[in-house]
Amino acid sequence: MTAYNEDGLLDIFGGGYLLFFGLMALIQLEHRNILVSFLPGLGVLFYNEVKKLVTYPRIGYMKFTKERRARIARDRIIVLSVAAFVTLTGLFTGMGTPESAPWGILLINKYNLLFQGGILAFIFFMYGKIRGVNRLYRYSVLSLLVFPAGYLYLDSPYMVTFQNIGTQCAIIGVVMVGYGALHLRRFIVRYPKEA
Amino acid sequence: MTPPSNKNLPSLNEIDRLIHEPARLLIMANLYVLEAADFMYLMNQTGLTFGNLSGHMTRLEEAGYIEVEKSFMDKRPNTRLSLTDAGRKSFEEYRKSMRGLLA
Repeated sequence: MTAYNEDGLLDIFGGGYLLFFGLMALIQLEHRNILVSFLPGLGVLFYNEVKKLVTYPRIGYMKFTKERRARIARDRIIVLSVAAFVTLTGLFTGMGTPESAPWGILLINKYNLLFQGGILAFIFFMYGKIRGVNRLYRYSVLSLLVFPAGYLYLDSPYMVTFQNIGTQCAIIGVVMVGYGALHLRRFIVRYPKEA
Repeated sequence: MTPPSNKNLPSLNEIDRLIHEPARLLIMANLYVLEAADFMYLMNQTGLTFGNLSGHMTRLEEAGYIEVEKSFMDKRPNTRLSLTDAGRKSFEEYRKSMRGLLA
């Protein structure tokens, strides 16, 4: 079943979203929250269409059993819910935290890059496990490297800012899109379309 | 001297020879985890040639283990395969007997 994910589309779309999210955070565009919220839905629709155009004509089509589809959907919802909850908690506790806040919140605030890198690494790891795509584990490691590296070059790494999150997400996004494009190229060469 | 016999072992007659053939076993195992798959997908997954897969597909279809649905997708012929209930049951029984044999 792994050939289905060899096309690199998951990396391109996932990375594309991270890049878009990062840029939106950096350029402070008006209504960016709306744009960022709606994009995943549109992305999924577009992803399915591209999959039909690129992947299915090359390696054929298959449909998992109902039970397996339900299990995958349930696992995805659990992972994304946990990730969303932790991210939002992290963001809300981090922004505008007073000095008198509990030590746990101050700790998250101070080491927010480690915290965010950990969340993203968790998402990649769990998603890779659910989808059976080992490549995603690499992005998990990348997240654990890129986010803490921000302490070396970001202006205010000990504060939770959109600039910090944006920069780190954009870097990971660019790497993912590039790596995905490489995989897509390899996939197209390996599985030529039937004449 | 007679060899020691194990009553838990399946007899040769219990092993479904139609499924036991490696190529057909691959087809059945692939279809078992899926609701349906098309011909090209199975060719890629099993590494069988067009003619080979087609031959095994016919045998499995004749045995009532798989259902073959032919249609057109984007003006191109598309052959979709899926396990029938009988095929799913036979595959489960085959797995059970092989597990008993190899345990």
